[in-house]
Amino acid sequence: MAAGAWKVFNRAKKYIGNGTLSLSSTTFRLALATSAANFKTSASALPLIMRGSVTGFCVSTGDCPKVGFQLSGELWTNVSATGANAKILRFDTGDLTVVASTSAIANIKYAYIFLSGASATVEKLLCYSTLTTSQITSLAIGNTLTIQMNTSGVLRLS
Amino acid sequence: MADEATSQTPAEKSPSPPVPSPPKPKPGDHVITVPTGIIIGKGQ
Repeated sequence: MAAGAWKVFNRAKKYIGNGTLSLSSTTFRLALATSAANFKTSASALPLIMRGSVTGFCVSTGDCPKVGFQLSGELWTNVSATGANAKILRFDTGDLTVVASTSAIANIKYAYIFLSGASATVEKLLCYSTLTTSQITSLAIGNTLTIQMNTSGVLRLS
Repeated sequence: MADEATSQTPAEKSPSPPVPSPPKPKPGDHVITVPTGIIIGKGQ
């Protein structure tokens, strides 16, 4: 199965709108979660707000920390035209490769992106993706998981 | 005395360095491309 598109958390939309969650920030991070993650309580509800509310994250000492991985190249930019004619805007980041270097990483199913902050209780969640229907049971030592961002970016406003 | 023919050999091109190919995924590696999400879009 192809990965699911990035889904924006409901509360993130509010925070994007009121400027609390600025897509122009350059301190976004990505973390991995298992099928036990509590991203949704129903098919459409995406109630989580802060990273501290997430359960079911993947943990592997050092290789897959709860605080995730710093994303590079975050960019909020127009893609269709410039200035007042810009009608499509894109939030994009560089790809990320996770390496199981010292221990295997178990049960990878989701990736989620959040705005880095002082602590888990203030780090606002932005979006998540279902990477695979059947979770990756074990990313063995020496193997990698590369999460490629689509050429159209992580998120688009069009 | 006949002029010696001067011959100029074209400067030899230095061999271009081989372009490294990206590392191939090993068995057990995963590469997942995540489709773009929409904040606000047509039909949304």
